[in-house]
Parts: sequence; structure tokens; C-alpha cells
Amino acid sequence: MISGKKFVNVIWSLFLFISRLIAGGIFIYASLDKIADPEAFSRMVFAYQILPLPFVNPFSVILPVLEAVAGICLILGIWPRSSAAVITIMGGIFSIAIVLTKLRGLEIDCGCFSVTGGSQIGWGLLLRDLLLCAVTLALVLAPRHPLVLIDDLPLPSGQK
Amino acid sequence: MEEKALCCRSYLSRDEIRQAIRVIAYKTLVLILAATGAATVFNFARPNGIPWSLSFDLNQFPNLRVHVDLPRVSLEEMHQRWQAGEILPIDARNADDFIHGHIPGAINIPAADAREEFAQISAFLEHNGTLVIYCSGPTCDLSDQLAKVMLAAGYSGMSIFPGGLEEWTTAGYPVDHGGEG
Repeated sequence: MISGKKFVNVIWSLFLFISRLIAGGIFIYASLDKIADPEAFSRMVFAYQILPLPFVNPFSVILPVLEAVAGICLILGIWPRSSAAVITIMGGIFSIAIVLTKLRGLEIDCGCFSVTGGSQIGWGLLLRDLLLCAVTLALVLAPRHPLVLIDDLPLPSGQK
Repeated sequence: MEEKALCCRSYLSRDEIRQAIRVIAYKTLVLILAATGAATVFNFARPNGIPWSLSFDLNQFPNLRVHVDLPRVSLEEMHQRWQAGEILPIDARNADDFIHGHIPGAINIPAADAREEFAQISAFLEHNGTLVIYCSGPTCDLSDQLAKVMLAAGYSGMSIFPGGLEEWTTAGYPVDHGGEG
């Protein structure tokens, strides 16, 4: 019979793996539309009126690729903690952007998943973002990850 | 006492935590730099890549720019009326931009200072034909910002040349330099 501790470990490993699939999947999905139409995405970044103008286009080019790279690495288990850290940082930046936008009373599209609009900035969005950040932070802090291709914290030699 | 192997304990030593943070921070940075490099190359190679500077027109953001309901003047009309001496061009950009080049005969009323200075210049404006306001080009809204101040001050007989100095110079029309506006 499976012991209580082992059961908790299995559930924890399952949680980590499913969280990686979900968080990675969300970020890969979020990157697709932005990568397909970088100009439309740069308009959305501009509409936030947060970044200085010279940074709008470079940010619009780099962010979606970073989302895709981090998402793929997280799902495949390539440096899972580091890719989760990238996603946590991005989630933190998005949360700050949402708060600033709400405080300034701007009514703009979030540009989260689609560059054609449809999802307005709101407190619900912030909650979703923070929840995602909490999950990815747990992935960063996890001492061990199941089903990993390339671990970013290999155990010291001689230990399994 | 020998430390328990990492596999068999549920905690990490302080050194191990520090080392782990260093490794994760380093690999996070590697991921960010790799994605930045890949994104730059990909954007350069793809047909619909965007320039490193802003590539779109501010006119596409009606909610972000000031817009006043005033007649708009085309480049040809602007040039004809300027040649005939029928208009007084008003340059709404800042003084530095004005000094670097402006439509000959224009006076400079920077939109940013218009609210403070308007009382002093309003008397002068009343004696000068039709006013046409312009700024750097189609993407700038300084003309509309200035027009808004002028409308609030009771002026309504002006129009806006949206093509601005950009269209004017592209057409090869003369430009004056210097002056204090």
C-alpha cells in the first residue's frame, strides 16, 4: 500500500507537471497571434502608453518569442525552473501594466491572446495574471521536477 | 557529522539555496538573451518584420490623440494660399524644431506653452489673415492641441494642415531656418 508521504509526493509531482503544461500552453498560445502580426501587437503595446516610444517595437518583437521559448521549454522540461522564472517575470510585468492602465483610466484591449482585441483590461485580468504568477513561482521554487529533459539544477554527482 | 545526501532530505542548505538561485538567475538570463537574439534575427528575416522604430501612424489611435473639428487643408491648397499670401502659417512644434526648419512666414506657438502665452499673442493674430496650423507631419497632434487652446480662447476661423512640415519638405517647397517664432 502506498504510504501517505509517497502519496503527497505523487500528487505534488502531478501538480508540478500539469502546472507546467498549463502555464507553458497558455504562453505558447498567447505568443501565436503576436508573432503572426507584430505590427498589430506593437499598436497594442503603444496603446498602454507605458514604454517610451523607442522601446515599443523592440519590445513587441522580443516579447512574443520569449513567451514561446519559455512556454516550450517549460512543457518539454528544458530548464523548467528558469523558464518558469521567465514566465513569472513576464507575468509580474503584465500585472504592473494592468494596474497602471486601470489607475490611469485607459479603456484599451489587453492584447493578451489576440491582436484583434476582444479582451479589455480589468481587475479580473489582474487576478488571473497573479494566479498564474503564483503557480509559476511554485515551479521556480520546486526542488525537483518530474519528466524533465534538461534539468537546470542537476543533483550533485553521485546523488540520485 | 556527514551531511545527508540531497536525495534523502527535504531541505536545502543555505549554500545550496544560494547556488541554486545563482544557477536559475544565470539560466533565466540565457533564455532571455537567446529569445532576444532569435526574435531579432527572425524579425529581420521575415517579410512582415517591423522596423526597430515605431512603424505606424498615430492617426490610428483616435482615442489617444487630440482631435478638433476644424477644416483640414491639403498640401496643394496650403501651398497655393501660402504663395498668394492669404494665410498665416502657425507652427505648433517646440522652438528648437521651429529653428531647425519651418514654412517661411510661419510664426511659432508651441502647443505645450500655448495656454500660458496665448493672451500675449492673441492680439497679434487678430490682424493676420486666415490661420493655418501645422506641426511635424501626419503622425503628430500638436496642431490639434494648439487649435483646442485657440478654440477655447474664442478663435474659430483657423484650419489645420495635417501633412505638416513632412509633406511640405517632401514636395520640395522652401523652408526657412532660425528665427524665434
